Amino acid sequence: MMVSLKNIRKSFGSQQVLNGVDLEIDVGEVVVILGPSGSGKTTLLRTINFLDPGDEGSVTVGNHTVNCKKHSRPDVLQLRRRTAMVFQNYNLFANKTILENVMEGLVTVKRRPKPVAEEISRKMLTRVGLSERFDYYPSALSGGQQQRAGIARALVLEPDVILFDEPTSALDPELVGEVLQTIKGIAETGITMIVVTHEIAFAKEVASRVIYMQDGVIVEQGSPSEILVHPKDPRTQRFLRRITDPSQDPKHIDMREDSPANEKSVPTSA
Amino acid sequence: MNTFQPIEILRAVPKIFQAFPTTMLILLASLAFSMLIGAVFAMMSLSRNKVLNAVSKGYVSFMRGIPTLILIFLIYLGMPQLLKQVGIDMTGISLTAYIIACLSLSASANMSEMMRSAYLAVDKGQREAALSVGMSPAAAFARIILPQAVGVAIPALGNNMIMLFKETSLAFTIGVLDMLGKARAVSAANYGATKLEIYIAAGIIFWALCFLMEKGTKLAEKAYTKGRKI
Amino acid sequence: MNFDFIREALPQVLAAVPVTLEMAVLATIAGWILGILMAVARRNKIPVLSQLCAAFVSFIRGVPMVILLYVSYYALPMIIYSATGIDATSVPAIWYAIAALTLDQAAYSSEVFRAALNSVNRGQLEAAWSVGMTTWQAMRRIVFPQALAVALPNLSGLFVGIIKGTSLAYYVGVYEITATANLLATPGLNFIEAYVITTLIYELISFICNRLFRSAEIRLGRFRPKTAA
Repeated sequence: MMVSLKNIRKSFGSQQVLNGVDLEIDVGEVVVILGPSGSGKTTLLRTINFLDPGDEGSVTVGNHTVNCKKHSRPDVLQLRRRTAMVFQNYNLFANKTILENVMEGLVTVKRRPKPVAEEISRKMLTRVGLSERFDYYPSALSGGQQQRAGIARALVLEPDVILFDEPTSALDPELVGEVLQTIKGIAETGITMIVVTHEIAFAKEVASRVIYMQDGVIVEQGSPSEILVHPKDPRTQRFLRRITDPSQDPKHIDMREDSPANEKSVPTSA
Repeated sequence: MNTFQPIEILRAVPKIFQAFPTTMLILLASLAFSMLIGAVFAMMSLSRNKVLNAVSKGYVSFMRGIPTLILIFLIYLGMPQLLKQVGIDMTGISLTAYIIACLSLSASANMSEMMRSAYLAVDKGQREAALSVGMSPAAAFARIILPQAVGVAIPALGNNMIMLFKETSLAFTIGVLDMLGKARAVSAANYGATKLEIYIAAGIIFWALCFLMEKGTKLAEKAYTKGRKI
Repeated sequence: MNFDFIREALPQVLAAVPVTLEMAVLATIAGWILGILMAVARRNKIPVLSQLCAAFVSFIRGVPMVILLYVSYYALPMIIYSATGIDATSVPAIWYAIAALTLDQAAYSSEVFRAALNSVNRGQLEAAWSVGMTTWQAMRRIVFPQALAVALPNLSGLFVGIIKGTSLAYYVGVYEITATANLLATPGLNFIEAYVITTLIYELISFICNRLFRSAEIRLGRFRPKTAA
């Protein structure tokens, strides 16, 4: 078992975002989490590396378990050193070049000598197709390039699991493809990944397991074809209909299902 | 060493406050003149004329580089000497007028920068939209750009006013009986026995008035931008 | 213009420049360190301390520099005496001036640092955490350098401001540039000459400081998008 979440609960103020989530992920699995805005999928991802600590439950990555209720700083640090995250808004270190971004964790966290870190980082950037951009600052790159650098920054740390938080949501449509291709390439290397996304086609093609979340719980999970082609739960069916059939007016959709208003009150989960 | 007597602070407050009108006169007059001068230099810096740009830039950086105290000495002590050589007699001019002139010049640099950046902060599209509906450039400025720029400038104006207010305390350096001048006079009257208490009292008065100005700025900003912001 | 006077006075006024710079530099170093600490305290909303800092800033911002100098000059010896029994009246006036200037810089710079820290996107901190950095590493390597680049133009203004502020130390008897010029000018009434020299010196110092800060700004801000630079 690579990642294990037990009874994760989390609320922002009076707003219950996660209502007891249990999840077990095996080594090498590519888990895609789908769900409407406000379903808690991003928050769930962020409880794994304690960017948003859960109120209750426990998180295990590898053989390191942290209890949400009583976590110490070294505990959380250990957890974060076993995971890596790719952010929706890339969050590349603005004051560092692309190469330095990738080196940063190797040098400050893994204590690799600089020349070694630099060599590994160059290789990693070349792998994501950024061999020409080593010395550029993030502000000089396109969103797609920044996100690929973000992926390299996560990958280079050789984490037990990489967490992808809507990695293509902030991108211009024409740049989505290059980033998804990069993620797909990584998925094929057998690294454990959890991907929160809205890209159904990507889920179909790359996921080893698909999870549908709504209202802070896992509604159903299974293989891509089980969930995406033959969903059993009516909530999943409705969600897929809405997403695959754009002619349906979103205003007619049941408010219990889609609650963007809730999402707004929870700034960190956006 | 003197012993500290807090009660003397309270005793000093009303005495110092007698000079409040003088300080206010200096503040308001300097505020008005510095904005006038500032407006001229702001226009120069925004014009397309390179020479005017350079003159404005030079003026602003000169005023920002010179301590107000030096400016006061230069104008109050130096200028009459200089003008005497060309036959102009400055002896009739009041001390208050000198201080107002100095503070106006000193503050005008910040005022100019404030106006310039407020003007530039208004989106270009606003002017284009105004012209596109057939307004004259003057009307576009007066009806569309200026009201928005004023809203942008209010916090900076409040700040500049507070700085100017604090600088009025330099009036005592040439013998004007502003609040600090008065404080020093009160202190001298009892041979400096309670000077610390008196200066603390002056500090409290200045702080309280600055506090009011800050609150006033916030209110003005709120009232002015109400309903204007998206 | 009395050129003999200028020739005689200029070296003496120039000799006072180090006094002015000493006050400005020491007060800036101490003031900015305090300012950073206060900004961090207020940003993390540390109870009591955060409110105390806010009150301190409001007070310093509301009190003219001259009054601050006087109060520091007359009050500090008393405070030191009553706290430690040491007679501080013989401490040179320059130290009281530096104390007052430090308080001034602390208050103003804390506002600058606070705004600069707030301008750094929270995502930067989260990204640093996500690669396993400690909060201290994240602040030192990622957040502070970015905040500093944002703060520099305002810090430059503060530094030039304090150079100008040192001229008031004249009133507590520090023989810096202004006091020296005044002393030299008075006997022969050479006011114009003395203050023109003084003005030029201050302008030159401001000019050099602006240049230095500007180049630091370019160096530390080279990661920022070109349009903002």
